[in-house]
Amino acid sequence: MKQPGSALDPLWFKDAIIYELHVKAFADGNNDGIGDFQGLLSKLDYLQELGVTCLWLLPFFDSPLRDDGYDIADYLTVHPSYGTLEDFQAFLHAAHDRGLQVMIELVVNHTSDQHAWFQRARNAPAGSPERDFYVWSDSDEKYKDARIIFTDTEKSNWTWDPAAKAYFWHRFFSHQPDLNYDNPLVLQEVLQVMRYWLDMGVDALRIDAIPYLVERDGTNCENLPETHAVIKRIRAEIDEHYENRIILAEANQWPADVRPYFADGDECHMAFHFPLMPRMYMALRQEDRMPITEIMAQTPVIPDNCQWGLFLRNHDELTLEMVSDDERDYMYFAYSADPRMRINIGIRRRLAPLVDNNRRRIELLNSLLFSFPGTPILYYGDEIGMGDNIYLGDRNGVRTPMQWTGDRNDGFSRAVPAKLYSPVIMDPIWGYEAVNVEAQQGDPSSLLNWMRNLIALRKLFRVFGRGTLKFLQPANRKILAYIREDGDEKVLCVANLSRFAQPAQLDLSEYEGMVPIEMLGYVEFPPISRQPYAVTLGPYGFLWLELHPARESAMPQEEDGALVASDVENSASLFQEENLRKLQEVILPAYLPRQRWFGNKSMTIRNAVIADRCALPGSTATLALVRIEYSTGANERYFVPLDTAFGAAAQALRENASSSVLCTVLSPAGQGVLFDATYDPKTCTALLAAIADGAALHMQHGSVAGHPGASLPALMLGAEAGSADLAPHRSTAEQSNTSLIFGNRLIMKLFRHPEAGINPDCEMGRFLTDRTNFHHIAPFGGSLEYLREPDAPTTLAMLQGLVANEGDGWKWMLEELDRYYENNISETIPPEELNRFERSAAQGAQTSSRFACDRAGVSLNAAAVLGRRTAEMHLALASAPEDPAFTPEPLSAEYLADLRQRINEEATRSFDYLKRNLSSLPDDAVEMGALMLSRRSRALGVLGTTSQLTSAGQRIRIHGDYHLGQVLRVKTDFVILDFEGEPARSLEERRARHSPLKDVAGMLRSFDYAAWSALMRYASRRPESRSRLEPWAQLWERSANAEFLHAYVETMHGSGLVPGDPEAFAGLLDLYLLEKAFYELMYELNSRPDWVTIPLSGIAALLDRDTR
Amino acid sequence: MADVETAREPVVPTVRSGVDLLVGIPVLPEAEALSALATRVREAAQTLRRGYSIVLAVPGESGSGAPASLSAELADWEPGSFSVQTFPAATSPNPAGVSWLAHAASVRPMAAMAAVARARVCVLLDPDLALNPEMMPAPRLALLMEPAAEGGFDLVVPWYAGGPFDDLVTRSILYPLTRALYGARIENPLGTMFAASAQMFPWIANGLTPDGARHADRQPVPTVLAASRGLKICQVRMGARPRLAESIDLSEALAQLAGPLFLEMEDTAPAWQRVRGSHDIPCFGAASDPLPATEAVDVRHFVEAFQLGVRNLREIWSVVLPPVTLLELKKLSVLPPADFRMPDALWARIVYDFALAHRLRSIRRNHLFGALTPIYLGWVASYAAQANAGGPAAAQGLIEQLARTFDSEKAYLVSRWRWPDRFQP
Repeated sequence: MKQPGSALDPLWFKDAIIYELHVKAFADGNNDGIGDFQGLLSKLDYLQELGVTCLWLLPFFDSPLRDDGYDIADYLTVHPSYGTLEDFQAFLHAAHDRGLQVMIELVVNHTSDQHAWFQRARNAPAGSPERDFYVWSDSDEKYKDARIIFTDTEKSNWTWDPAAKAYFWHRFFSHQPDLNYDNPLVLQEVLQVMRYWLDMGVDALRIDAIPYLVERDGTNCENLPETHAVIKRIRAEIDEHYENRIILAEANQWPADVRPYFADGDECHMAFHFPLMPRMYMALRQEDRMPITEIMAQTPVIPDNCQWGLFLRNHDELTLEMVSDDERDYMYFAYSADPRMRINIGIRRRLAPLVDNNRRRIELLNSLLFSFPGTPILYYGDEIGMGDNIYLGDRNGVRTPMQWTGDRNDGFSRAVPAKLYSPVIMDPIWGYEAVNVEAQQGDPSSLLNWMRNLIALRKLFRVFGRGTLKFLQPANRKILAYIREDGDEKVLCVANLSRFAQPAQLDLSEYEGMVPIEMLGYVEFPPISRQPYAVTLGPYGFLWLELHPARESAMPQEEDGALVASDVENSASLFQEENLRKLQEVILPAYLPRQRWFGNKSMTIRNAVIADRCALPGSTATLALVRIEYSTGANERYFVPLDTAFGAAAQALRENASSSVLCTVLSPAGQGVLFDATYDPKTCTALLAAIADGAALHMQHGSVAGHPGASLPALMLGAEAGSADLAPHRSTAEQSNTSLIFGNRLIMKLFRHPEAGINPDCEMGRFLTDRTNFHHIAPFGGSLEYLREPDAPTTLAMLQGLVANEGDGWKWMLEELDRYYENNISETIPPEELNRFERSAAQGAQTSSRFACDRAGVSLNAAAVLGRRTAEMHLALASAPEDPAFTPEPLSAEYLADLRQRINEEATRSFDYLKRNLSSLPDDAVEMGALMLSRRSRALGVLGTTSQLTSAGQRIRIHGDYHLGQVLRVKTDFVILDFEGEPARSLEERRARHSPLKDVAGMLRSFDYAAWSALMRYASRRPESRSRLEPWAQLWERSANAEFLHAYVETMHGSGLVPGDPEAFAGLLDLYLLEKAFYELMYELNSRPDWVTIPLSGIAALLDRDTR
Repeated sequence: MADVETAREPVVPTVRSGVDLLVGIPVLPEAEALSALATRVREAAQTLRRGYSIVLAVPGESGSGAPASLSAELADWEPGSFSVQTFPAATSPNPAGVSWLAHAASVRPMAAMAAVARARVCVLLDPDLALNPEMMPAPRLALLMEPAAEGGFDLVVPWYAGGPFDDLVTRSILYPLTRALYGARIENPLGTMFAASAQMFPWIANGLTPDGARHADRQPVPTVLAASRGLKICQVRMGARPRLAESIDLSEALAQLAGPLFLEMEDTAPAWQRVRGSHDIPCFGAASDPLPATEAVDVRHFVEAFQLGVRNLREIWSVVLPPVTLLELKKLSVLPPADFRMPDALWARIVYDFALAHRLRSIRRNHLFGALTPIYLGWVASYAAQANAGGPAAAQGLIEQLARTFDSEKAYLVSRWRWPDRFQP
């Protein structure tokens, strides 16, 4: 049986407020001048009132104290200065009684050289298990790629031990030998130490110096796979024997390098986000949000059961390891005018002195700390704005006694002052007479009371600990604005990083109709509309705004929106009379815009009419087609399966899938909910059965029919709908459609916004599966069609075989490129490598060089495979001339003229829009945009040229929306997905025939995007690397294009589908590339100005080629 | 108040598992009364749609007295369908307290027993009613059991009929406050008679807050436990209940009645701050007309008590109440009794301010309710003057109007709660 923890929620750490303190520095109970557990126990009421929920104690174990306790001599005893083990246990119980969790340190990278293990090791024979508790070497040359961390004091990571007559390894001070995890006995001992404290009831362990546990030659000895194996073993031990205990990793690394410490949620529960901390100070000083948004952009997603630990200050220096050289210099200039303030690679100062004791700056930084995604960690004394003493050695200046009162020794101890472990701070600004708890408790406007209120406020909102983060992009970069979202809980945070008042216009159109309510004072703000939302913030001001649905803000009676069911077994009564009126006029218009799959969120719905409906056999669901009538604009139709649930099922939906709930349903058996039936496995199974069985369902006006594909029996492998092998679940990756997954065999795409007419996705999937030998697609399994005369049939759902894969091509390629950049960052490209690409590459007659293949082999090989598959797809699509829907047609001069005309119009629109928005572009894009505008006439001239292409090939059915995101990486090959075409276009447009080169252009542009967006991502971690890597991005993009085209042309050879003349081939391809690039330019100008350089440089390159 | 907060962990006796209904009563009746109760419980259960195995839980020792005698009687009943189970008698932390508190100590052990027995429903009876066959005949017992046993409700609470001057603390504070906070219009939010589904047992037994914290040291308030989690609650009309002459100090009564709700407010703040508006909850049982008042109330004493408070407690009130409220109270204090009217919004804000002061411990909690008492008497005077003038239906309308004002003034509470700055209007 597992031993329970003091917390009941396994994810308690996500909602925690952690308070870091040193027993030595907090309160002295026995008046010997050193803080102790008795003293700490006497201050628990203070901590409880402050509102923190978890206490993190710095090391309190027996130690020679040469590194403030991080040099442990005995893991199982309490240092006598701090009390006894019984004192610790009394403290632990008292903390738990107050609902406080306790975190202690597990410092197991190294011990003190006074530890019995080390004394035994240095005297044991070389090679013996005792000696091997530590890392020894006969020379100090081993592991020479490992950096020295304490650069101020250590010259080497090796120190000679005369007793052992060998060097021992230490990543920190030379009196802290590293343990040797290659010796299994070490881990056994460490696990015993851990169990000792967990058995006592400790809730959390902070694992110190976690990246350095294992060493390997030829590496930098950080973050090694063997280290992760050790952590996994520690975690497994915890999970096996204990409930609700956690480990927190101290890994001062880039977020991407810390990510592996979460693994799949089976290593550390928490890890510090080190690089964010200095960037908050940098953003504040520079009055620019970029340092923060950049680091958060490169912060990877972590598993749901994991959490970042965020902090403004801690017991160490404000570390500047995770910043660039320029940034470090800036931080030194900005925050450490006196050289004494610097230590190692950082600044040894507390929060308040860092910001010149400016209350508003302190509040602003805390508002960021408490509203960013992660668990905030407060350092003792910062809640009252304590100062530091830079004249004390090492980092002791930020470890001075807690300032409790204005009495002798600041109320910390009644010992004679000379006995104190550290002098108290006594100067007129920071001294204990000016800054102390007692005074601030009595002052309603004190920082302490402000902090207490802020902590209490944060604890009211789960979204801060658990919600997602999305940055807004107001033009004013002094404003940092972001949305935190957790289910229905949405909070908008806006911060002014400037010392002067600032205006901002926020694009909140996604939340149109919602009402912001200022959270501190519960003040209602004007509702959000489609127009930019204007806010003005005072110097260093911040706003936290809850976003409430507009209807709620008027405080309606809840039953106004409830339906009344006469029978819980039959939902028909919900679609009649008064219920139907409420559903159509109130409930659906409020519900639909909240759904991700609903398109026109910005338009006002006048009515949502249930145009047709029927019961779905095998379930209690109703299949409804809803006609949306907008205040302005054309009607639309949506497919909305609905069902009711009562009792525990209803409660579960409210708690776990609140966005699925439309409204309350009152019935004789109590309250229930009307909900999106795709959340019910029974409905999913019934939909599958409807297709598999070829069901014919009569609706009120039309009918629904299932059409199984020829391959469906093989795809189901003898299993029936509802069997365990086809257990349904709803995919969380919801976009404009909803996907239902059945076991590991089938996936059903529900078209939420179905259009009357032949669905190209179904049509192409059925054609390729049933009538060709092209197998690199997800096999078509069937469809569900709605028919209502005189309209054409409407596809409501499509069933396909589920393809096991390694993710989509876009994600896969970005990862490959990340590795490519990492491997080549220190290399230089010979100039001839970039210059070797000629016009012949665009004609498919050139491959990449040996040099490029050696450096990016896997991804270039993948590009070639993709080229081949693309060609095979096109050949298959042209393989049935007898089928009128797929008959190839000659590519006529009229088509070409239309194409040129279309591109010309798109280009004109893009240039106009670029001109209007030039000033709001990021700095690096402004110059490129201006250059492009200066070439406007020339560009339009090129497009206006009416040159004729001879032998232009054929027009055939094509994919139509082809890019890396539309293919899946399957082992060493690709599978092509999603033949739906561009959703914004009409069905007729999506089924139109084009040259296959339109698809080719789509993929080549996608390569361009992959190369540059991977570079942007990489450079956001290492900004200094950008210019160095740009030639590498060009090399990869050109090589990938060449490989793709070469394979494509080779496979298409002789088909007559594409121009046979190489020049004509390249000319037509360039036209499609331009069409795509101008489309991208408009998109980026509207949505992602930071990315606008990608299409701009793509267009520039194409124009250069065309004018050459 | 300290007593309310220091209840101990329940001692859970062994109990056979697999029962359907666990019916408990917090006092041990005479053998004859216990037998009669068992018969009525069985009759009530028999009116339900399906057969239930029942355990009747009573305090005491199994081998003696009334339980032993009842066990002997049960030998003649259908085997396995009904049994009696004893549990150690819980001592009331405050035997001189108001009636709910006198029995509250039994709530947690009873829920713990129901959890151990894996019962589907736990019914806790108020002995003052349940032992009286006229007030609690079998059909009324069935009314209490049925929604939890067969209607899918998680909590069933009684709604007692009363006259305009009955249960005024409940009607002026507990009902409107609970309604505004949690959105559910529960007429009697505080009581020790209820039926609960299995979902409620662990929360009641362990004193779990919605965020998972454990408050084993408090008497549970099942209505808040259920409402703050959005569980299904319904009311059953139970007719009138006996009015016991409770010779308890009014301040103490306020502490014992409002104190538990104020405590719950702290733990359930994330839940109630998201609730907007309020809604009726399902109600079963025949509705009856409001009972008439037995006699008109002389408001002069209440007004005098209020005026005395204004003269003596201004300093203490100023720690709790904002200046604008103090000014309003001062203006009220000079009105003659005939004109004395306390606006609903003023009273709602005062209750909210005292709830906040309770959380912040602005003054000692026992003193806090002492300070509230004269203002409460002022509200009583205002209400009584209006209720005297109208009939019982009008009085009910006044309470409903007051409750709506609590709803609409809730934003005031939320803002004060979130940022409790004393520097306010």
